[in-house]
Amino acid sequence: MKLSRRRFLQAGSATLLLPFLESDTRANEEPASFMFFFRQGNGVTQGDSNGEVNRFWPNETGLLTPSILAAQPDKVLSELAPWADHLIVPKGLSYGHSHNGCGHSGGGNQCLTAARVSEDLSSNESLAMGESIDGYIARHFPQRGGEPLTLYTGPRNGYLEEVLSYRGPKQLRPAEDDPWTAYQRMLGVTDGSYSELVFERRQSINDIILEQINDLQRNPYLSTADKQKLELHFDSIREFELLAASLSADEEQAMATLSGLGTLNDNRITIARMHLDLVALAFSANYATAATLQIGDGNDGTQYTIDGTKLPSFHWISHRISADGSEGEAIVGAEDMHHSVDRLFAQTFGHFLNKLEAYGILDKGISVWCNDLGNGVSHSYNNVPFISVGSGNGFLRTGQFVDFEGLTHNKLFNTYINAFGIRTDDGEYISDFGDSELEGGVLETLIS
Amino acid sequence: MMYPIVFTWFLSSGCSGEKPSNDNTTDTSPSVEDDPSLQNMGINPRIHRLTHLQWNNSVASLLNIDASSFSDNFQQSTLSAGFENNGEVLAVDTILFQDYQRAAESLGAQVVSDLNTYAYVVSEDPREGGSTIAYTERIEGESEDAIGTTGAASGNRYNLWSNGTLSVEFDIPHAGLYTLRTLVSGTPCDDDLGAAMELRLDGEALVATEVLDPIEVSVESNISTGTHIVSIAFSNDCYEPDLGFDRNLLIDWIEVEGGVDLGTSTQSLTEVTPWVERFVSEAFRRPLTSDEVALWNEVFVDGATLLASGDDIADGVRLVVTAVLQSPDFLYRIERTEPNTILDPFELASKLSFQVCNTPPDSDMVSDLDNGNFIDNYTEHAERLLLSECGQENLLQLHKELFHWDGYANIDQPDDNWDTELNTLFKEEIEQFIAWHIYTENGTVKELYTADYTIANDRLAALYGVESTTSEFTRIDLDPTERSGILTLLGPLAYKSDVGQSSPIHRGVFINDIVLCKSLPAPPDVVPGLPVQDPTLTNRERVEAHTGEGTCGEGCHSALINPPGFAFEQYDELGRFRTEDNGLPVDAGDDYYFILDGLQSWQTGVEFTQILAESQEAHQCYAEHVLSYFLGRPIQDDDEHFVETLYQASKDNTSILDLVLLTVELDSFRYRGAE
Repeated sequence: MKLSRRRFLQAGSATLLLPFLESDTRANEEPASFMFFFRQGNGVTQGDSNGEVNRFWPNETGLLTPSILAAQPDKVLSELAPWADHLIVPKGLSYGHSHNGCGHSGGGNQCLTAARVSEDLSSNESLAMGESIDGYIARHFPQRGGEPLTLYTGPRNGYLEEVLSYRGPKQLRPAEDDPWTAYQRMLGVTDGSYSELVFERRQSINDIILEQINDLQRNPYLSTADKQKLELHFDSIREFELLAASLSADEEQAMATLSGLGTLNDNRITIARMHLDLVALAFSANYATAATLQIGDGNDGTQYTIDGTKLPSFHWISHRISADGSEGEAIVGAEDMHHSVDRLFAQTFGHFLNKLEAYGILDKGISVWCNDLGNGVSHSYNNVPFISVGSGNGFLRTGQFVDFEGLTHNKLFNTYINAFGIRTDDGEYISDFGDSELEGGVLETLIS
Repeated sequence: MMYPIVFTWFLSSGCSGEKPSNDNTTDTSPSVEDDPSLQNMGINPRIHRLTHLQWNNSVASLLNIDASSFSDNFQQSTLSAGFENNGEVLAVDTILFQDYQRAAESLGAQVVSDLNTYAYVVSEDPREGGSTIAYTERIEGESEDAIGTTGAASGNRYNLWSNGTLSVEFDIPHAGLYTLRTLVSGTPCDDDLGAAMELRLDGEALVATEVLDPIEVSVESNISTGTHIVSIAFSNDCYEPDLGFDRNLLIDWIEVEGGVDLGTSTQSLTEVTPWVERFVSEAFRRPLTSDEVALWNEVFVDGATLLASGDDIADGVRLVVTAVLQSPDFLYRIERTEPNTILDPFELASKLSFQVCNTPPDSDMVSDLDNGNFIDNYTEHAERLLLSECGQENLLQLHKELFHWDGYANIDQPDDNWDTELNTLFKEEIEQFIAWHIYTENGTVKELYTADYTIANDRLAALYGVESTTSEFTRIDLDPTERSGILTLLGPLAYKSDVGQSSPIHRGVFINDIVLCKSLPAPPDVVPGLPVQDPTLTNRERVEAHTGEGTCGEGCHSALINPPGFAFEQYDELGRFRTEDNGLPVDAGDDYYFILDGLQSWQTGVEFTQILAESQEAHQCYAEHVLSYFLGRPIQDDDEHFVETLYQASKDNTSILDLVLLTVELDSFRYRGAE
């Protein structure tokens, strides 16, 4: 849907511009406005005790710039070179707890919660014993709904499905598979009836309301408080209109066409990109504060197609054998395949970053490419990658690669939470997210 | 519920300013030069969003629809101060805008999907041949119109022999409520399960069950106009040929029935157009300008294009309703009257009706507005609203927000006499007491704090140490040496208690904050909790040692919080009267410096409440609460002389009802001052 009318909206004394006309390079004192987690499963090609070498992390810690990263094309993170100035690469972060029978499940349990794994539920049924950071942040912003967007693309009825978002101990939050359904829900349509006609009807009505508000604004006796109320109402309509206006008719049609087909391998990345478009749109319109997208199920058995070649199950590739278990025929070139999947995820993450830049909001939030594991072969919980882009409106010091040499990742999450202006009752930094037995605190080197 | 009103009363004159003339339109209101009070008047919001209750009542009045299923789920306002009707903070943010839009679209559709509602809303458009079933279609499972992802037609059914779906497209002519049905059966496998099926609409499962014997499965759903897919899904395929089992799902037919056909209009679009001005004017609670009439007529005509159902009049009605319910003139109570003059009669009628009753102006008020008699009959309307059911509920709401009896559900005491039912009884008692005091006794503020009775049942009476033989709530007399008014009722005392003990600190803060309107500073950041109860000390001694003289809490607690808190130490954690605490005599005596009445001393809780009841501060504080609530905003410095008027009336033993009536007669309510 395109904004064919009213590109520039006047609300009394306030001139409102479409978001893509705003600068995204201005740092200010405002808290971060959004938090996003983009999840890849099965670890990355960073080498391990299996004799493989690092093909993921940059060569040296310290400053990151586009030229530094571009000069390391053999490393996966070179794919993010265009955004190096906004990048934080924290190596050396680990999960604090062991799994309970399944490395993938235990990793997924801890990925966004930093909580311990359930004792009574084991293997692929294990659950996290705490709230995840997306929900924690979202509920501090009830004016944007108070709930995170929880999205997924992958098969169903398999070994392990959603793993990321928890409302509380053992309270796994169900994810939405279908971008078309998610989009219509964002637009307040729950019976599948959204159409061009609905859009035009809303535009027509909104035109009347906005003009009425403008008319009221012209009353010379309005107090400042009354003007602010009307401006808030005006802005609320405008922001919600952006949800419907920012996707083209082709994009909407593509979503509708693939509706219900997200379980198919061939649609995995296409649907992921559609979800990413929605997340970027939601953030640009202040529709949500936090969101997660899980690509692939718990141990991601997707057969990704790269350069025209359909690969074996990614889970098999991560094990380097043609099996989901520990024994099987070796897959020739499995490490290279895994590396190419890592790059595919980096490029898909880059698609999202491009969208944020187009909306002018890249640096207003924090977007994180995360993983359930550090290394797929060993199911290691060490050096788990949490690659972030965006300073959260200037809170984080970006453009750096730091090795924390074995700290638990709850500290990273404490740092993220504080970027949103969330503090203790006595005004101190939040330092206790996750399991209480983990050492608390923030990562000072990441704070500007 | 209406409370019995057994008195007759009339307004005692107390308002300032001249009474307006008979003519609604001739402005004989005092000018600033004539009436200095208009110069010194707090500023009322000009843009005052309806509360969710007011929104719901407005929709009910306009459409004859109970929309509480929407308003109950509207974004709640996060109010940091003031009453819930505080117009200074009520606003429309992104979430609430979406709530309003969703409700408006659904209600607009509902108006044209229900014969009775349509007839109520659009009396200008009588219809012929309307029917509650506009559409019915059944597709047989074996027909070519039923498309399966697996399996095949088998006789007069479709056999889903493995996991998959059978889908049918239906072209729904009218948006509305439909029933989706299917006749299905299953074949077993070597377990106890039937064939697992889902009935889906456009991919979303509406109902799921397991079947073996033939069964008709149905579900209702709202469906929009257009093409929709109804499908039956099978999900637990089981094939054990060696054992002779093969679980399948068999589908006889799929059917959709329902919707509403409004029938044929007997009017042309032009003939129905007068409805537009009438409806929008009623929704906006004022006459429309000629430009507005033109605009909304245009919206009405646009309905045919933007809804395109084929029924141009119904489409116009639906679009107008949908747009009106999102318009600022519906969502806000707006005052456009210029400064230094009495409110426009339509604005004043809205204000009176919403602030007293949470409803838009009723037919009596509208009639007087139309014939120009509203200002003349203003007092009569105010009295009528105040005594109506909605007026009584609203006045109770004021006291509920002061005494927080919604919080009684959280009371939890390790006492054999306590259970959750007692919390419900506490709430019932205070509601009935206040209603009785105001509407049956025509009570005053002083009597609110000194009454020697309550409205209770036998269980509560036992806690008062009084005999009652009925489980019904009745008026019972209390011992005047032990009880004195609302502050010594069980509920307020139990609510302001710690676990297993009374709480002088909570009770003291409440007295300062709510009864005396005395702002207390926030406690310091790091405040150690009270020490555990010491069986060798009274509770007072424990609290005093922790917060009294010589401690860091001395400044606030010794002078302000503790004395009124200790006054209620004769009442334990369930509000029961006691003379001993841990085997030691209870000491409720203390003194407190009232700013206006000086230092006052007492020995018992009853003495303290009677001091409060006579104090200037308590009357002034109550006056501020009433003024703030009915103005719909916090008190401002310029409200001083209006507070003074109400305070004097309260001190002169004016009843609470008369105080409220006095409030809505004040210039501060009826006029806009200097801005």
